[in-house]
Amino acid sequence: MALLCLWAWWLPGQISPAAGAKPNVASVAVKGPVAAKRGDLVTVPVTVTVAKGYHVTSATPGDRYLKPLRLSWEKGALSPETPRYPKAVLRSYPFSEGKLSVLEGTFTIDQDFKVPATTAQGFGAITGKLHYQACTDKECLPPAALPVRLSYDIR
Amino acid sequence: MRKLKVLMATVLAIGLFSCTKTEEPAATAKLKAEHTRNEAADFALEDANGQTLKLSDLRGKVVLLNFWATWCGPCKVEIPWFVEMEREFKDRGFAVVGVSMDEDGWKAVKPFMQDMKVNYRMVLGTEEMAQLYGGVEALPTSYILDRNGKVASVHMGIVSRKVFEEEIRALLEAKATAAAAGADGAPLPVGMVAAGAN
Repeated sequence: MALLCLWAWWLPGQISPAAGAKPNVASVAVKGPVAAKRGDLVTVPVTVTVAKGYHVTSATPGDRYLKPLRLSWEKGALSPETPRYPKAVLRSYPFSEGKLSVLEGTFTIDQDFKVPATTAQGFGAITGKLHYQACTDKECLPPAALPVRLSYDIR
Repeated sequence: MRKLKVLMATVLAIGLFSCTKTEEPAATAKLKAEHTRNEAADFALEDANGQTLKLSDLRGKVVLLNFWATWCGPCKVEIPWFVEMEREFKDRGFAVVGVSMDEDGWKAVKPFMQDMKVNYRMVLGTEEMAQLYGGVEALPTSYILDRNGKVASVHMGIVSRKVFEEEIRALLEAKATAAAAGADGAPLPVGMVAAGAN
């Protein structure tokens, strides 16, 4: 029975909010390397997955106190344009007076990069961060940032 | 073979059922028995008016210690309740202490306090101080302390106003028992953890 309990305790997919260590409730993925030519404009989908039961504040929360979703990039060989965030869901929560603008599940941020004509040919990478703030319908986690890395091949 | 499968499934079902977390949902949490309460870690932090708030100075009062942040939706619901509770129970020996976990500090917190007409004392939480309270990984998190500075209940996540009020009233009434026991008016025992997080 003890073994059975131990096994049940370790069942996957059980994220317990506010249980000791900071739960990692979001993940981000970028497929690379992206092949491009100098002078190109390339669109890179940045896929974000939010754990079940959680939502993240959208890029346009409509409340000055809320922390918007934000994708930022370090200075690099590629020039990032303003990210195109997905359409948010307007959802009511027991704690909200009105509807909140949120994102849930898996969604994609489309990120355009300009490849300057002066960029050196070959492989490289550009790094950035996805800033987000997640809540359930009962509690919120502090704002967090996930590292993002895009590798590229300029031909 | 079929019987064996049925038996295994039954054992599995019983096992999983018996492993279900036994902790009650926060919304129905009850006060801890007096002898099981631990002392709340002391701290001294500057409040919104620039005065030092030392938790142990509130000894003798029932204290609602609320960790929150301006970006936390559920926290926003509780704050008007706390404003009213402060008003209603203040004269009976009750105090709310807000601990903002905003990284942006007073720049974010003071306008919010004005918007919400906060009438209780507020401090800015620090990482060190949060560690004294178990890390405070999610907000809101509220600690209700009895008049001896001991933790009578902890609520993680939003809780109903009724639960807060029931617990506060029960702790305020407990004063009568303590006063009757020490009718000489002697101060309540002091023995708080000295773990300042200034």
